[in-house]
Amino acid sequence: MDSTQVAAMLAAFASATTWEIAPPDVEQALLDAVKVACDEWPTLDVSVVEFARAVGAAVGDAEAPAAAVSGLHAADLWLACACARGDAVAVEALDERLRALRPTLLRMGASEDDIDEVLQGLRVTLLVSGEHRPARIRGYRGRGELRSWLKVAVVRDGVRAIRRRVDRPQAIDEVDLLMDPGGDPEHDRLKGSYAASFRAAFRVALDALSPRERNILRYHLVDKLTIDELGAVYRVHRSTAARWLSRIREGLFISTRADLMARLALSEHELDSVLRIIGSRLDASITDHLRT
Amino acid sequence: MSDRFEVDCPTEDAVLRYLAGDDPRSGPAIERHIDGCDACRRMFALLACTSLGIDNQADPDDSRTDALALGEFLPPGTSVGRYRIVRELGRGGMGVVYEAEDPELSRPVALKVLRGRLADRAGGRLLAEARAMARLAHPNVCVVYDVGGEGGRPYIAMECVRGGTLAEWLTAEPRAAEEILRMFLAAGSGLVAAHAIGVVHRDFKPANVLVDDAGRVRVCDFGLAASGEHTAPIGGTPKYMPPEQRTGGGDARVDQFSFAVALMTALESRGGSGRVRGVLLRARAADPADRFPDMASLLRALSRRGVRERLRGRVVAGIGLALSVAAIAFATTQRQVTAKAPSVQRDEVGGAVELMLWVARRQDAAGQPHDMLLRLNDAVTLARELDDEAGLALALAARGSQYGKVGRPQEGLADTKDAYYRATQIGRDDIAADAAVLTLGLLAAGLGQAEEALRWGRHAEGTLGRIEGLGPRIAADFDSAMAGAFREAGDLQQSRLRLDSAAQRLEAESPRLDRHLLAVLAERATVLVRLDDPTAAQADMLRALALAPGVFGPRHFETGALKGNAAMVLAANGHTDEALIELLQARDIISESLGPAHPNVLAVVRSIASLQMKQGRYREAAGLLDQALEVAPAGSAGACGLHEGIAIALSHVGECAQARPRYRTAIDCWEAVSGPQTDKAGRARRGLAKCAPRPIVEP
Repeated sequence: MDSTQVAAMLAAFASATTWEIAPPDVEQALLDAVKVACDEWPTLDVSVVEFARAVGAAVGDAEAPAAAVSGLHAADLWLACACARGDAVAVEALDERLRALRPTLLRMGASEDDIDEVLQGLRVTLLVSGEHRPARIRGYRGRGELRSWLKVAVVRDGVRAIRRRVDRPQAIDEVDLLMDPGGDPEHDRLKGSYAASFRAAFRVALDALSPRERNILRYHLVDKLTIDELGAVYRVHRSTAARWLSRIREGLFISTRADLMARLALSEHELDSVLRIIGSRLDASITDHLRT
Repeated sequence: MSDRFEVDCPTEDAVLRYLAGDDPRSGPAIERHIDGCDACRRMFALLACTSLGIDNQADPDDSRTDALALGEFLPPGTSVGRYRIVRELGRGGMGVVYEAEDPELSRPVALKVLRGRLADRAGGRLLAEARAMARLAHPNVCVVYDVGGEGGRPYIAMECVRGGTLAEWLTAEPRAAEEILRMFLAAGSGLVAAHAIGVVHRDFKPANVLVDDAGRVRVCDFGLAASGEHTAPIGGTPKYMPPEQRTGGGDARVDQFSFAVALMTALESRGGSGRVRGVLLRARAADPADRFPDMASLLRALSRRGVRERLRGRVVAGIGLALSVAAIAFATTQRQVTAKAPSVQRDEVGGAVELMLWVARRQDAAGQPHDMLLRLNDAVTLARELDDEAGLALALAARGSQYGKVGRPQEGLADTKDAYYRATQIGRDDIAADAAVLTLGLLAAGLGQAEEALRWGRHAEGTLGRIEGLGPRIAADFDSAMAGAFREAGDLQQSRLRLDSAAQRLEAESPRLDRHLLAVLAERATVLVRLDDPTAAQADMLRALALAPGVFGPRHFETGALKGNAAMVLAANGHTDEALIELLQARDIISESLGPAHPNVLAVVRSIASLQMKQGRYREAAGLLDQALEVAPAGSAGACGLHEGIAIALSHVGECAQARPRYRTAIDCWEAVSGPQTDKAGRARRGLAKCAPRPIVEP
């Protein structure tokens, strides 16, 4: 690479960052990144300037840009640049990575038709720019592996496809669910007297939670994540996740109880029999309330 | 509806960063979004499932990579190398730290699982440096046990330290400048040790220094910043990074710079002294050539100045004290001391502690171990008073050793360990080596803790390795202390090899080190007895006995101990009666100087009893042991042996009903003293099994 090319590369890099001119140590980092990429993909049609701009966009306003550059998955980013240009070899490599994600969609419950549709649709949005938006592959920044990034895209599109296809069941009235164990006159009385109050109290308590608390409940009850999986979402140990869950549940119960007590002026005994039932069916109510 | 998705939903890139924990600021925004966006929440949920490989039978390999790329979360029970993940401890730019278990050694380790792959040059260097660290044993360096994962998931297995980081320590409560300086000096000596084996830290900062619950400082994460593979900026915070490192260069002096910046920052609000600041400014010079030649020089400058400042006003007092020491010394040993007294003034204060120690040693020679202990107490106090760190380390080591000799190994251990840490902090490897060897000896011979002793053996070995021109005395001491550890661990062959090596070193120096040679010969004799070689044992013992008059007096407790050992050899060669005579003498001599509860006395009593048993005098033996038990410290190794001895004696005369509870006491006792898996507990268990209650059969 001659000095003109290097200067062009550095200018392209800087143009995509908050830096006026590229810091001096970036040059070597960029050249290293190019070398890594070319070693992996010797034949792809990518201009160094274009690559440098993509690297710049990925680095953004990092405090130590050279180190940030060295940390990128250069070869994957190079491949993404080639795909955006429509390089045939690169597109074939991308297709291969997309095909490898079929099992992921299958496990999500997508049918073969769904899978074909999702992958085909994704392929189009990845490679073809629309009127108002660039080809989606340009959103890849090289900060994780390309296959992980693609997996996120596939799962996202898969979720949408499945939701479009599957008719969602009508939300069950959680209070009906709660009050319908059948045949118990006590329950019937409760149902008649307190259904509306319970619904309102429960809603208030739920709304008082933080978004994160509601999400934790949803992950667990609606999405059926296990404690371990919940821990994985938040990068905490399972015991922490379990503690969060039980605290949130306990908080919900206590708020609902307090609200009900105020609303209904129930006797201790009556309230407790309401809450005994609420307690046993709490998860079911939460589940149904949480479906937005 | 779909438009809303397009606009509001986080990009794939943001999702990846959120799941990898790279961007903690994005958390609340993402939470708010998925509170209202079912599709995105569903996506996160699915990514969490697949990254864990829960429903992943189709493509198991897939899940492993995903766990790293997305969540970087390894659930409990996952195997990494030979380790099993227990829980996550924390995460940083370089990877995730887990508490894990090493099933082979059943010990906890801190397992750092690094991000990305290490196929490249920088990765190779990282592994090479971690391997170098694995060979380094220094109390202020986090021990690296193991490095692995080439081609897969790279990891570093380290010592699991309970406590926090130095950064947390600094902010937890207001700290005095001197306290801060002491912690940094300790961390600095860890850097010195690493530099000595060619490892540069490159990312020294308080967050990379651990402080355990006992206040011990350990530097961690050596060389990690050198692997340029990662998204984290080199050195984490550029603040600590010298100019030459920003361009990817720099030698060991980069650590000096980072160290100085960190210490200056820590002292900033505490009004550190002007002199300390001057030293740090030099260490923090932009041009490496303007800094100190090495880390050790920087530490010396820091500690010297610090101490000098405080001492200036005290020198007079110090000399006064030293002279009073001289007076004591004069009374005790007359003329040699007066010759030494002027040097006290010449060296200001440094020599005073050493003089006191010298006085103490004279008392040892006179066979007054408890008086020596009092002198050593004075020496410790004096050293503290004078802020003479080297003197304090010397005095503590000497006192620790003496505690061991008078049968108080626990107190001795506290002293020798303290001496070791202090000596390493001021870079006095010579004192540190002595202290480590003493610690090892106390653990093995005094407390019977073989495993812990062998661990200290590694500390000692590391320290000894750093001493140039290692003297034969310390090398031999090390060998014989290791021999004791191996003996306690039940490995008599290793024990013997060590003793052979020690004897060889000492014989070459004879007669200068005869005192040590004698001890080694006597010890080897007892090992040879247990190895069933009574002839060789007797030869060693006779040589030791021949050296004894020149080394100790006839009534010195060491002579008593030697007689006890000689008796065992005699017994092994069938001379039971002669052996009993020697043993009875040994018991009297030793308890004269050391008291009847001393472990050596108890050991002799056990020997007497076992010889009596050999002669069929079981009841007599049981009585003798019972008597000794009255004075033996409860829960000591000596007491365990007594309980076991009584059980054996009782079982021989058919009194199993009485023997069984004794066996149980002995088993509990051995387990408490040296752990459940040891030979001794096992031996007692076998004894108990033999003494199982038999059904009464009618004739």
